[in-house]
Amino acid sequence: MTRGKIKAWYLVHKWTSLVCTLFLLILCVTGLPLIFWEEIDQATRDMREPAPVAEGARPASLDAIMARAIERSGGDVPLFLGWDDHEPVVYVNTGARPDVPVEEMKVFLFDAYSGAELGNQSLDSGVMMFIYRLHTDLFLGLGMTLFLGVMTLLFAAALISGIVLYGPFMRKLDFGTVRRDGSRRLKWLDMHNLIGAVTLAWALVVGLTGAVNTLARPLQFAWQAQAVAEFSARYAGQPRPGQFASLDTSVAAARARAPDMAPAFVSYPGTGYSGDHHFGVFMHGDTPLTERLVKPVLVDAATGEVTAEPAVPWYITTLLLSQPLHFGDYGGLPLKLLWALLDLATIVVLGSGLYLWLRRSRGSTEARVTEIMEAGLRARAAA
Amino acid sequence: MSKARRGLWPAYRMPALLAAISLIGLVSALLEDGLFDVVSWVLLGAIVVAMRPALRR
Repeated sequence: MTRGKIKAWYLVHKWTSLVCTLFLLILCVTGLPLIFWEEIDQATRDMREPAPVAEGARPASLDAIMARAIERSGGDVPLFLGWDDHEPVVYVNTGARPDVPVEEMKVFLFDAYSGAELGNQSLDSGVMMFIYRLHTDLFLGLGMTLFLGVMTLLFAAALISGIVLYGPFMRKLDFGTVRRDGSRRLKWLDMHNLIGAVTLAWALVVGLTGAVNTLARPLQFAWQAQAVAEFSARYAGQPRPGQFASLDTSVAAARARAPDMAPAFVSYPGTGYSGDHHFGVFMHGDTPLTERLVKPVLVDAATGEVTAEPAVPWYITTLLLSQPLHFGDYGGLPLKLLWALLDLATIVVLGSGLYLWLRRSRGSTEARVTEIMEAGLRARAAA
Repeated sequence: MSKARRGLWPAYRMPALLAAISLIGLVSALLEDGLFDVVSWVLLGAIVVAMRPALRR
């Protein structure tokens, strides 16, 4: 690689890193506890365990569960009803209006077979929701979410330019070299290169899937405007149904359309998942992948009859695939622990990068380029 | 310059191998539970272990 090219890549690395580092540090630090959200939730939630499922037991009526949740909510409207992936538990989300934000929803938990109420949890209270808001938008809304997405793209550019500079730097060194007999800065330069190179692919995947996740809301809107609008055209001008068809009937109708799949959750009209006139019954498979690739069946919320099974557009598939790869929640607790370690390693890469920039010796960009070409040994370069 | 070009691949051999291991480890647990989870743990565990030189005193 020519000196000119190294200089260009160095400038890309320096500026993309400097702009994104502070935000990425916030994302890595707040993301760390979020990896274990599910575990923390289970440990802290106020829920009785569901009864063991007897052989041949029949699931409780969803209509009865929903009626109970609405009664307990004190005048809310139904938003979602869903099934836990691991336990025989049904959850119901309610809210003051169909379009309330997540943090204003109430959650009621029921035994999927006996229908007994197991407890409830409030989504807005709690440290984890606070950390989640910090992680996704710093309490500043969609604009900040999208801005963080841009910062994450800069992070990806910093990683790519970093690995481009890694080659010329490591040309004369063995992999894993950390020189502890030189200056402190030289040691951290080696650490930065080593940890950065080792975690590169993981950091790129988690970073880029995080950037995709920042587009979740706009993509859901696009999906509503496109797919759902197409099927709800004949409902144009009609008000949202005030009386809903039976949930049990509606879910059974959706099940009949996808006999190999199980329902993951049902969205009510107006929640932004299924238009103004339909239940969205989201069916899924049972592997980690097919569990997340949901297939929607739109059921007329007034009659309980299936209207359509809209094809899932590519951008929603991309979003659904991006979520597990960002959260690390698809391979049990060991995968989460590895996720946490790799997250900590990324914090070290970010922190050491900042340190290297703050403790740079005097001199121009040319001196930095020489430093890269001579594997950090400026003395020899001076000759 | 030609010397530099010849010299770059050895430096990238390990990072390229580790990137391949990372990607297989990331995808494996997504496909199936059970053994596929274990493959992910082992491969991503190897990535963490590859950082060991950073911890030596």
